[in-house]
Amino acid sequence: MRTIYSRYHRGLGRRLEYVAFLESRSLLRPDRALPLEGPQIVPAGWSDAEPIHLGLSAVVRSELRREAPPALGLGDPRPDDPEWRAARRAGLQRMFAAMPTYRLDLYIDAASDRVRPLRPDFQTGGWFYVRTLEQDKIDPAVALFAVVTGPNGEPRPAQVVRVGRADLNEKRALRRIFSLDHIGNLGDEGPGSDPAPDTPPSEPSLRSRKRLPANAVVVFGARRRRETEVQIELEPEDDADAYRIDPYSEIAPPLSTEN
Amino acid sequence: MASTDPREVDAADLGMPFDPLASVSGLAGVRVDDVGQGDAIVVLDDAGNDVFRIDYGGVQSSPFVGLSKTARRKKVDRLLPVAPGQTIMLSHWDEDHWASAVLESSAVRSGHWLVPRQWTSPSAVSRSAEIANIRCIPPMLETVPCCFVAANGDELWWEKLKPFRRTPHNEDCNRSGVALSIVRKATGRVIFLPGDAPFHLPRHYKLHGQSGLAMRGLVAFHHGADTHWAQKTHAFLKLWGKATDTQSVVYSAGVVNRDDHPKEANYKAAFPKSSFPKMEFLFTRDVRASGAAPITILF
Repeated sequence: MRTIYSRYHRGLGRRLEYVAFLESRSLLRPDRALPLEGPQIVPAGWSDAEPIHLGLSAVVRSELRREAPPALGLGDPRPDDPEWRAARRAGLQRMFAAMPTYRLDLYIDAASDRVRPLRPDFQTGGWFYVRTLEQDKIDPAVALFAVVTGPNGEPRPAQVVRVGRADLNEKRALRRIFSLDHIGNLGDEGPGSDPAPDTPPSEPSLRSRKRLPANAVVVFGARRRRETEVQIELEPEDDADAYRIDPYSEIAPPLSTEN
Repeated sequence: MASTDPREVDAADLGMPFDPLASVSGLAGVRVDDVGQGDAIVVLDDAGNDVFRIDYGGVQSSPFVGLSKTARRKKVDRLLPVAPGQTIMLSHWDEDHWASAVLESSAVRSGHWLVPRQWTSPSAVSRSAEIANIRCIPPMLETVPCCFVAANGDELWWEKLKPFRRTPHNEDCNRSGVALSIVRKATGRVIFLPGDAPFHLPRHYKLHGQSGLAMRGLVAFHHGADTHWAQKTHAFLKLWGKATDTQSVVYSAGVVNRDDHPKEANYKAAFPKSSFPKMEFLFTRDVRASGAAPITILF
């Protein structure tokens, strides 16, 4: 981890360090009190420039260290294995049952010399460590503060003590935990749908062999559409009879009751 | 030289017999639900029934904030109903596009989700693990235009814009997610549903242009933001706007949102009233405020 911001804060309050994924980043109007919803923490004009808002999804670092290994194991992921996926999903459910997720909203005074250099560090999709000190009142002179919203939905203001950016290895490790590998692909079978023992092994799926041409468009329901189009071509029956030539009309005269 | 004309491939031949619009008579248009800041769009059939959902979001200013868990779930089920087995397609994993999928809701218990594979957040992973029926778009279909076909030939197009890569690079999931559109074959009209992706990215939007379709309307990308707004975005709007047709631009954004969505100036500059007298601009935030009917774009 590389520390990119730190500041000492006095006072009592709950200190927590979060592992956080940066989901969104935007510039706010400087003429508004912040945050926009819930109790105001800093007044309008807190930043001379447009404040930066960072939206992060986070878990408490100590809880992650405690809950992730027993829930998810340490083996390599096997996302192509439906049984592995099912076990992984169950593990994730156990992990998150013991480890709730939080929303961190960070507000940064972009005019501050102290934090201006940080801007390039905050790229969406990045992982960060954010150490906070929860306090009811935030000094408006700070260049960076947080609002932490827990599972109960109640936002709490917090001083930001330290922000660190995860390095490459840490990012890889976090991505191994927080991935969508428990989800199979469309067309994959789930667990329990294995063929019966006497069923011959299926051919390698077409999807594993076929490479789509560059100009391909994949249609779901193509066969059904072709069948519908063929039916339409055959209709209507009345018109078809009108133009059908009767092969016997030239051979035998029509029957007449007037003879 | 290889042909660049689109070449149709049957999904069933790829081992994907999924056919969510098989029993749908036709596609009448969309309803853009008011979920505050976020997207929740419903595709409607000719009888006005909900047949397919795109995103299930809503954060700031959503109608579900401030409620207890039980009350919230009940209200979600009432305002954003999901029939058992109904397909829900997620454009991308930003929270404002799935946040209304609360635990134990119909969407989570009985919706059939089709989602992009992306690098995403702890909260998104947590929620995805609770969804009973969920599949990712397979790698073979990433960056390939795809469509679901209704019984009368109407089409619901979708396209994952970028492939998922297991590299250490950061991913902009707005631009790597799924963009959609629906086409009414009988009239040759299209409604654009780009999610948070800018209009110029989806290949299949260009195919629609080559096919000579006309635009009925669009949901502004990224809630009407000016993020990723480029000259190509303006060019797209200029291409599809038509002074003689009734067309609709819908902004799906909350009354209160941090980013001041929508940035109306961009769209108003593209469609000035004097030149586009039939262009209507609709805001999901007005639905609750005025008690108006939900916003629809109908063919």
